[in-house]
Amino acid sequence: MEIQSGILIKNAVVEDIEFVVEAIVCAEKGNGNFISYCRLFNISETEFRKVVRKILEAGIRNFEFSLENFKIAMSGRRPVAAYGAWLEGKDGISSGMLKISALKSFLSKESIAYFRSIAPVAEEITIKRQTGTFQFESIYILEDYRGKNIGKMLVQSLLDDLRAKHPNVGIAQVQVIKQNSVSLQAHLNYGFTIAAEKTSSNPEILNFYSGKTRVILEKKIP
Amino acid sequence: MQTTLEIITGIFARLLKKPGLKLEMNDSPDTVAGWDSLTHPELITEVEQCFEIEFDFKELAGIKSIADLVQLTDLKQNKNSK
Repeated sequence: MEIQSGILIKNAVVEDIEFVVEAIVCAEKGNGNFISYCRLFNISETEFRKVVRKILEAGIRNFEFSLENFKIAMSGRRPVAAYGAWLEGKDGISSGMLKISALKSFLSKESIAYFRSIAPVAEEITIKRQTGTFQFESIYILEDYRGKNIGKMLVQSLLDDLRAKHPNVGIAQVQVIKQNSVSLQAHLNYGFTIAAEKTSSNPEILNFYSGKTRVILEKKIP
Repeated sequence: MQTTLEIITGIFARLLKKPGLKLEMNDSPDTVAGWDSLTHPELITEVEQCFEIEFDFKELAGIKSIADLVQLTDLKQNKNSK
């Protein structure tokens, strides 16, 4: 699909894995400039990138680290933006369970044990994704390409594909840390509205996330 | 001799701190309180250690119910014993 002169939207393929890893890492950093997963599992950014690459290569569908969820915006032969979305619980298993299964498979026992020890704090702003909704995750647009409507068109392209496969689904959601004002404002611009939020008063939450409040933004699909 | 279901039930009861827990084959994270993304790695690791098996990611991604876990455990055990 051509969205503007010189920009094309396409489905992610194996050759795009490095860019999708970059997208996930940069989206994770958001405004906080650190990767929550690195803090949650006590791993380096290098290790996180390695693990995400392995998970993407495994080809499991319908959670946030599924390559097939992603659309890539291309400027010529250069990937300039990416965004992913899936139908939550499509195969009878939540994306949360798939994600922790993936991380358990590719991280050390020590990292999993560390997560278990700090999880009660991190869970204070966890919101379970709603089965039967479209879930968006990991938007990333190269700086030079921001403000050119690419994010909005990625959202529309993802929605078009998902709606073609699942015409009865009427809600799309995305979760963002409220303090990530860039992502929050971008999704408001894409037609999402704030549907719910969860705040922790525990200052330790800032060891793991860039803010104390997680927001669900929702878009009704006509 | 205990069945695989009974042994797994014991593991879930101990780790989820629910003595007397009775798991059915059609149970899933939706029906077993406490079986969630927080406890899942520990539960699976304990099953792996108990039966001396190891699940890979694709296998774990297919576990949607206790029946899936029991069947996969039996399958891995049978492979190991051959």
